[in-house]
Amino acid sequence: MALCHAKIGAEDHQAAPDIGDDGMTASPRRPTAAKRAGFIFSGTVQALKRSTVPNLPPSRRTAVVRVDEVIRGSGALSHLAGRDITVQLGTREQIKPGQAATFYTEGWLFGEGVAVRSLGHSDVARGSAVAAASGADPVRAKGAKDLDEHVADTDLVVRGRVARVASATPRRVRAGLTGYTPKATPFVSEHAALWREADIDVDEVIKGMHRIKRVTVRFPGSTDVRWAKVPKLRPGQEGVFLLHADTGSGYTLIHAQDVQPPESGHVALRARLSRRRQRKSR
Amino acid sequence: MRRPARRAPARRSRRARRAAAAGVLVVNMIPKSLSGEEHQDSEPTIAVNPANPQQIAASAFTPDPAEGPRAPIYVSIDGGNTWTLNSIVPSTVADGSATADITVAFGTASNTLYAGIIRYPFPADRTRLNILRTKDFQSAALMTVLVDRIGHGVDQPYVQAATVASGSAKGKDRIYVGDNDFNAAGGRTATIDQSLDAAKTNPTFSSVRIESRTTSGQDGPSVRPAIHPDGTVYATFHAWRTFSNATGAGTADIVVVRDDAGGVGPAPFTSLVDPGDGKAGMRVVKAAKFNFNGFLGLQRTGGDVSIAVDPRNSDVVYMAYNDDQGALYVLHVLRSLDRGQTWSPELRHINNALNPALAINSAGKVGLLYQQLTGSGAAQQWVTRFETTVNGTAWTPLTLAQTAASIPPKQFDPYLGDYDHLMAVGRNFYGIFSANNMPNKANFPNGVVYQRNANFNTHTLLNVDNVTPVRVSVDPFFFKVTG
Repeated sequence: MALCHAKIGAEDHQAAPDIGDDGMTASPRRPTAAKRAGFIFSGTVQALKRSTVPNLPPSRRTAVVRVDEVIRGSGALSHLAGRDITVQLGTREQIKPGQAATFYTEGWLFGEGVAVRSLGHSDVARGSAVAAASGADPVRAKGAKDLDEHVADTDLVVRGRVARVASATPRRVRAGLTGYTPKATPFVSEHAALWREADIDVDEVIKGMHRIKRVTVRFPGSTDVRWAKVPKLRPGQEGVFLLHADTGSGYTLIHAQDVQPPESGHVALRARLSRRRQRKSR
Repeated sequence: MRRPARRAPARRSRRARRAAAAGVLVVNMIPKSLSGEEHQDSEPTIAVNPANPQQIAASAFTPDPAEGPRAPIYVSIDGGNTWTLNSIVPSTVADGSATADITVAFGTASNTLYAGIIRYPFPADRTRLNILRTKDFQSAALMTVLVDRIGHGVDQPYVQAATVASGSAKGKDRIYVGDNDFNAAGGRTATIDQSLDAAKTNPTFSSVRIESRTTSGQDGPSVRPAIHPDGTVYATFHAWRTFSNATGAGTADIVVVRDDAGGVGPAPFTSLVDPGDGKAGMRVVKAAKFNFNGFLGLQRTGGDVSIAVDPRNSDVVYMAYNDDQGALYVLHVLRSLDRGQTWSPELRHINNALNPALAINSAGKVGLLYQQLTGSGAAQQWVTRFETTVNGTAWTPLTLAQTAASIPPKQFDPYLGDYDHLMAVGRNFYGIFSANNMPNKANFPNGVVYQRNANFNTHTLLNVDNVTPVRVSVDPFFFKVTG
């Protein structure tokens, strides 16, 4: 039986085993394993000191676990239900054959088989709270987790409509907030963002302390590997825009998740929670 | 030191054994467990461990399949027959669990793997250089960060490494990372970041500015080192002399620099002086035309270079470069027999070919890898060829892949990569390239082995269930040619 304690997260209502990398202890400063884990599944321990990955020899820290249900994971991991995978346990983490548990893990090796690194585990009953909170689709649950973390990193979240798109110009932009001075990069690189700028008419400020009607943002026009997945804004486009404070005093849109559908209630909720936490911390 | 060669190699498939027996092995590197992947896995590099050629690491623009905070490298411990992704490179989930550039190299005797990456996140246009190290490329441990630099930005790190074989520095790993460092003063941005003892716990690095002349404001991104066991180190780079921001067009000198003592001393990489102006660095080609906004098919262009030194004699060095000649993007190969002082007329002239990669094996045989756009319209193909020569004049070609040029659609730039890679260990050549992964034997005239599920009769990729079709994408392909 796992010698770890679980608690219900107060904010996200997910079971959050308070365990560290060694599977036993947690630092109070670090996020819980359930929050950190990109791949969460319920499984049954098949064998200790075994491996399903030809390149990975069995050791005292490897165990073969049958995936009973994928709770949260990327598309590449979501198909693993019913399959045996290898789990590398924390240094002091203990499990036994036949044990059913919820495993909080990160991806590691992908070859003929799959191996993951355990961040900890909890009993299935407590882990089922994670499943209930995450919904049935493990990929969507992974996306929601990533989006939660991303929203927390944003400085301004608004719902609105793109009014104008143009090449970024070296003029001081007069926005509802403060302006910024986009500079053409002095160097030529295949990774250059090729900045463009857009005015967004704001219907609602979801996160951020400002009362604004329009905000000007920069976004990369480049198709380079660095920037290709970042949404390219177009006039008339509606959405929820997750914005990041620039090194000046403007805002940028720089991640694939930075534009969400206008009806994205999830983003709005997470942003409000994030703003509430910010206020409390002041 | 703990040696990482402790894991049993996977059993080679019958197809792999048959292909290898014929002297040519081509392997699609996407593992079976990722049969559903459709990513554009472009811009590959490879590193064979000279101390144990069964161990091979490789890199590409492949994201972490788990979409976690690490990017993967490809790992083989059976000489390239099978591959596993091992996510040990620092990255971020929000930026796609990958890197913006990555190259890899082993020390020749240390079993230590080094990587040069553009790491996420980086602020706006200021790319972030990381130089990384691991003493066990199969372990789960995150690679150790040796250098983490942003400043004005650092572009396209290209790492090479060697373990000193004799003398007072015997046993030390020397690594040379060619990069375009925008922190350099006066626009002389071509740089070698070097460490003369990279395997020690806290190695020191120095940034050697190898551009000695006035530039257009900067050099191009391609800076490629090549190391000889006697301590000689060459590097070639695309030295920009003019550049138009409006059109992307410019001219560049193709410069070769050399250091006869491995970069030791007060003025590294100044051993080769151009008699034309008395400055360090031989201008092998002057005013080569390029266009940084140019394309050949779906692949962007802008100035490729490669260099290789003969392991039997450090006087002998080959280099390749590209230039624009009218509508053609032309690949040229030259040779020097006197340590870069004088150069031959071009030994190869290949129209509409890019991504040259050179290597010379222990017998002095020269290998040249490149990708050429052939045909037109719907029949247009990317042809990946490997050629060898023993005298520089007669070249023996080998077609590794010939695939439809506009399939699949481009996901991002670069489509195939701004480079591929070739190296030699002993008499054998090892290389890597990216190509359309349609499972069609006609696309691979010298055979191919897929790990991922595929039906070669219907030319269909299949998901992990071996039933559901998967769209064609760009995959990395490993190859080995027995010398």
